[in-house]
Amino acid sequence: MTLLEAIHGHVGVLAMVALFHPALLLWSGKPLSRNAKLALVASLALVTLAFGLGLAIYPAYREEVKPELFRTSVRAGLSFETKEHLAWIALVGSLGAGITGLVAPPRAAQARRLAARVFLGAAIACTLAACLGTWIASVRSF
Amino acid sequence: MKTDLARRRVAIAGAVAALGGALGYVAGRAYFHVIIGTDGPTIILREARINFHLALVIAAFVALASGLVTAELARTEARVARLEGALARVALPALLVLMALVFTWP
Repeated sequence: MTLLEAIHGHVGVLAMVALFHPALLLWSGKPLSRNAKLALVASLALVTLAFGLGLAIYPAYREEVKPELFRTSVRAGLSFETKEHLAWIALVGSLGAGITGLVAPPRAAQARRLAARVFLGAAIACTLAACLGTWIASVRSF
Repeated sequence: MKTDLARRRVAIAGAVAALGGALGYVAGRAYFHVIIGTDGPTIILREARINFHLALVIAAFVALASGLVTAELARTEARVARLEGALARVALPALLVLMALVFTWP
């Protein structure tokens, strides 16, 4: 579980960085090249993997770590919940924006600008989740 | 041209689904706080019974429904353009407000 938790954290940080890339690519509204589309899909894969790993370790985390985390610091325990919500916003935001960015036809510049803004929101949520996650792991871990 | 419109409808539905999914989740969170009425660890213990995975499924359903409704509404190019413009203006502020809310309701 310690290893899975470490992988989850590292993939989460990679996802955080990767989500800013499509926001920049789509910001001008220009059509995406094939490589840019691949980069976009890779960033979606990273954020989905980070969230999936989090879900996989959550049952053991809830039993083994969470009670101790709350005993050590109620603030950190509540921040863990906030981190989960931010992670959901990052996941659903990036998946939706990914669909918009990939499906928008070449003439639909405004749709790509919209996707860029949603991607930026998802990237900010992912950044906040990664920062909170790092702090919480320093308070209590497996 | 007809294919272009269809693709734009799917594109806009994706963006709305993203916002709808986030809003659905945070609204559910606010509801738990209202019915339980505490900011302490009690809500975390109570929510474990409510089932986190079920909450995700509900949020995903809200995302899908809002996306489908938008695709249904955006039947003409003019409507699609209006929706794209309006959403591009409100999407980021809306997501920032939702993030502020999850800090208020942990």
